[in-house]
Amino acid sequence: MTETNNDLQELLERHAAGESVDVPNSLVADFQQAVAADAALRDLLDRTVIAQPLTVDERTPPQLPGDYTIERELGHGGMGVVYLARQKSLQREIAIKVLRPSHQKFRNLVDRFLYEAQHLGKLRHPHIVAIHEIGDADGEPYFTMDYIAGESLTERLRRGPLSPTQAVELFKQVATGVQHAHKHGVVHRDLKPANILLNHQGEAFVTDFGLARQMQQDSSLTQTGEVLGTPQYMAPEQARGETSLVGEATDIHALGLILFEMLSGRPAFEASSPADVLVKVLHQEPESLRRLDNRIPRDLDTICLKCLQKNPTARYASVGALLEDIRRYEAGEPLQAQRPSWLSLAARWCRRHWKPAAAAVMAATLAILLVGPMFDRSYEELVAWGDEELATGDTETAAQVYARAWNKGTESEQRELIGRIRQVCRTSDDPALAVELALNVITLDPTLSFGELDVLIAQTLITRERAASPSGSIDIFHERPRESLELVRQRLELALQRDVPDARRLELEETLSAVKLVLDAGRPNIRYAPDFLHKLPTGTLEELQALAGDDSQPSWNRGKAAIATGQLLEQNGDISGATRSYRQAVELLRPVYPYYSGVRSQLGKGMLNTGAADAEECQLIAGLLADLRRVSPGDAVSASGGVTITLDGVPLPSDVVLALRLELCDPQIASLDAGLPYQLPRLALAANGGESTIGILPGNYRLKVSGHQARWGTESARFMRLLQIDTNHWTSEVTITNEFLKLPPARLWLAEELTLTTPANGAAINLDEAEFSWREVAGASYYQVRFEYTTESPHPKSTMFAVIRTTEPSLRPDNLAAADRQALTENLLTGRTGGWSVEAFDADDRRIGLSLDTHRFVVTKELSHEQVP
Amino acid sequence: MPHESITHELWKRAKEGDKAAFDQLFSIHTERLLVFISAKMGGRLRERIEPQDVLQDAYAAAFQGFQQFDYTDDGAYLRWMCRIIDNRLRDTNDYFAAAKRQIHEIPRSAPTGPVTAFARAENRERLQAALVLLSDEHREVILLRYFQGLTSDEAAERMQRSAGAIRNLLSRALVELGKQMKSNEESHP
Repeated sequence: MTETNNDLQELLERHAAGESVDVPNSLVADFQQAVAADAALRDLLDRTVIAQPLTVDERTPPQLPGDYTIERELGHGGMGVVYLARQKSLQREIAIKVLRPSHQKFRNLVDRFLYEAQHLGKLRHPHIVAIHEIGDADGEPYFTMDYIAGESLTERLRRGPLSPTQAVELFKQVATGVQHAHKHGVVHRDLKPANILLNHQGEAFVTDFGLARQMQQDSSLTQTGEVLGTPQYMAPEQARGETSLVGEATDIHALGLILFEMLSGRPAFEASSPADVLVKVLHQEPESLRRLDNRIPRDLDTICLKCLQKNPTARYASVGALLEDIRRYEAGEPLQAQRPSWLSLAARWCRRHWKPAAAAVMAATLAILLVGPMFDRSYEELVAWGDEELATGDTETAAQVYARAWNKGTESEQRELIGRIRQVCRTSDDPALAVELALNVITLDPTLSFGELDVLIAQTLITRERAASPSGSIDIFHERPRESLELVRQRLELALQRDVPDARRLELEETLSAVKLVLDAGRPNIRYAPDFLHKLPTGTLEELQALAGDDSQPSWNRGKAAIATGQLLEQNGDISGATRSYRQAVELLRPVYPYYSGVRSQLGKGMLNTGAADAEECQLIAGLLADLRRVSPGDAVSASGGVTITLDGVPLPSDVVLALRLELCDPQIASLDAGLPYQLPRLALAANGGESTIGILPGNYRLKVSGHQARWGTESARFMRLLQIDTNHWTSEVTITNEFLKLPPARLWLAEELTLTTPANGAAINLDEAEFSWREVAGASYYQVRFEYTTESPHPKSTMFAVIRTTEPSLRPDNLAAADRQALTENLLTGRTGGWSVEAFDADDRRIGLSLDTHRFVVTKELSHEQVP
Repeated sequence: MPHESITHELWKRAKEGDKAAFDQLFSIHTERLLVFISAKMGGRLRERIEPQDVLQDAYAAAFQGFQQFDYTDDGAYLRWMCRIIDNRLRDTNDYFAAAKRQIHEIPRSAPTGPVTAFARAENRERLQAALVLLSDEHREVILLRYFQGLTSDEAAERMQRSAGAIRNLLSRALVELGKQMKSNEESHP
């Protein structure tokens, strides 16, 4: 086998070097296939385009059979040279087109051309230039055709546009020629004014039918002067290379362009470079003919527009249908083609003002906004129209019409429309439009749910937030109105009330916390608690008392029930009962949430320096203390102390706001989770050199720092990645009296940047053979390697799935413990983009080094399920 | 030399700062680059990324780095672009970090006229379809050698094999590609 391979390899290499090779029978099939593949690749890649046209001197007339005498050259173009010749036997003038491939390589093309030309030669029509004879003169294929004494339409139009009557007369002739070809299964594909010949009697002839396709397959053939030829006469489907869509409709598009140019004297799509023309062909509507010249009849403009629809199926169904409308125009009857409705006019407006960055959603918005001045229906008429469409089941149109009505309506009218819009949104097949409509509605009614659409609406809003932000993520430093983010928050909360899959739920919850963090960024406190956490329960006195006494409930919930009980009793005049309940509440709440006042911090910003209770939970406690003091001053809890936090070590850059997440609870409580139904960390802001204080009710507490949160500007991103905060030297228990207890400074320091060595960032790796390694960090007692993979849909997202511990500064996937190996096998699939990063820890589990970047790799082969021996 | 290649001509003009020439140079290579991109991305990646987006990104990168590109022969531009794309694709995360993406107006498709575009598209689609069906290493070796213009030695280094093994692999890959193209042709006459 190997030997055979080597033989084949050698044969191929010698063949490529131009040697003639003797291929043994056993290898012939493989050899031929390889050579064909090589040729196809080279054909695709080595297409060097010849820029300079052959000079006239280089062209000598071909040696034609004796029956023909060449009189003169008529012209030359992309396909060869055309001569005027006299055919002696028939005593007539003919045109001879000679194709001059200069290279033997194109022999196949020539053969194909000749075959096709024979087929095309059968087309006979008064407005098609007929092909008579096909031949080969010393290797140069040629064909003869009718000689049309006159000029091409291009030449004619250089002298100015045609009158509508002249244009229609010529156009009918051209169209009937094309129609004839279509009936015989021939599509021209390259109709343009240059391919329309006019004789002195004013008759039109279509030429170059279906020929170009074969001959221009390779552009180096004879792309004389037309190398960067304009795509002016392409249909959009051709410009996109959508071969399956190229057909009769493509010719109809070209006919529209020809009619346009006949009437206006200029191409419908003009621009300075081919690329710009292409952009217009694909995305832009031609200018209105009537705007160019208001003498052009409106019906002809309509016919042109119908031909020039971007979508092939929206054009005339056949040339016959096009000719029928031309007949109707001449007879003064109404056309079959409709003027584009105001809706598609709006879309046309958008396309005319096409911007490269305009996304589909943007286009929809524009369509909704801009249609106004174009149409003068009243709000009532629009609503009635929309209702009609809705009744007939045309939700899409109804949606568009309601959108229009929305923009016309007053606010009270808009409110009236909400129900209808909700209905079309629910049934619409077009989510982009539905989201657009819903976005209008939620500015008026932010809490209205759109059911399943809520998630999509939230995502749309977030995407726009991201797009508007310089960092590409939701930007917490970005100074701008928060209304849209507020909408995002409400949408996410609505979405989360629905039944969503777990994976999706987690993502939505994470986004929601991020959004809340941003929304709260201007406030001195940052918290994650949902609203229900600080709302007091309602119910009868008995129900509330029962809840307050229910051991199975978290003490936070019991405490709130006790407050509610106390308030009820106080209203009823039972002061001693109220006092008992408030005291019960303090006893229940203090151990799990002992905060009564705001966070004071010397950050130099007034708004951050407030003693008032801020977070709602904190206000709840402060309110409770006030209640107790009111009903029984003797029982009042005196609260005037807390803890003071300072920093030392590496100073914080000025664009960083850092807060430590404190957890304080009664030492009797084994786990804070049991007492608080939701994590309610208290954030203590920290500042360089200054102190920050946090008010805490008197008592004994277990103190823990469960992490930190920070906001920072882009310049401090690296600093924040490396920043480590050490509070291990704090005591684990504190006793709070009515004074502020000064904690030892929290130490800030930067971890060492750890360098990943192999594989290089971006490498393609075979996981069975790969080894991940990094530079050793001094003092490291172990490393943790974090593996993740990246998906791009619907948004770029990295999923971290494994953290693997190792004492060596390297790791081989094929050498891992079973569980780690399985994690890699399941997640790093072939073709996926993986990522890895490393952290170094000392013997005290302090993080002393970390890699700043996650290195990416592409998995060329996933880890084998079985260990490779 | 009677003919000067259009790519060389465009390169000279683009080098002098002619943006239209730069766009034209790019646009006459787009379809080939799309074949490269689609083959390079393989099945799984392609479901998640639009080849057009990659192309757009490459356009921006090429524009930024154009002064570093030197014209050595007519294939140099294509090889250079392939390497840019290769690099961009290798770090898909970086590429798709939404913040870094900017939308550029890219010149698309071939400017040589409708029929050329039409015929080319047929040819390109056939090759593209066949490339996707190859095994990963077969596809890789073809992309490295043909599109990116690496020598056997360079490809050997990239694929961590010997140069001899690469040459052998290439011949097998070509046979497979030929087979796939043929069977495609037979199933779509």
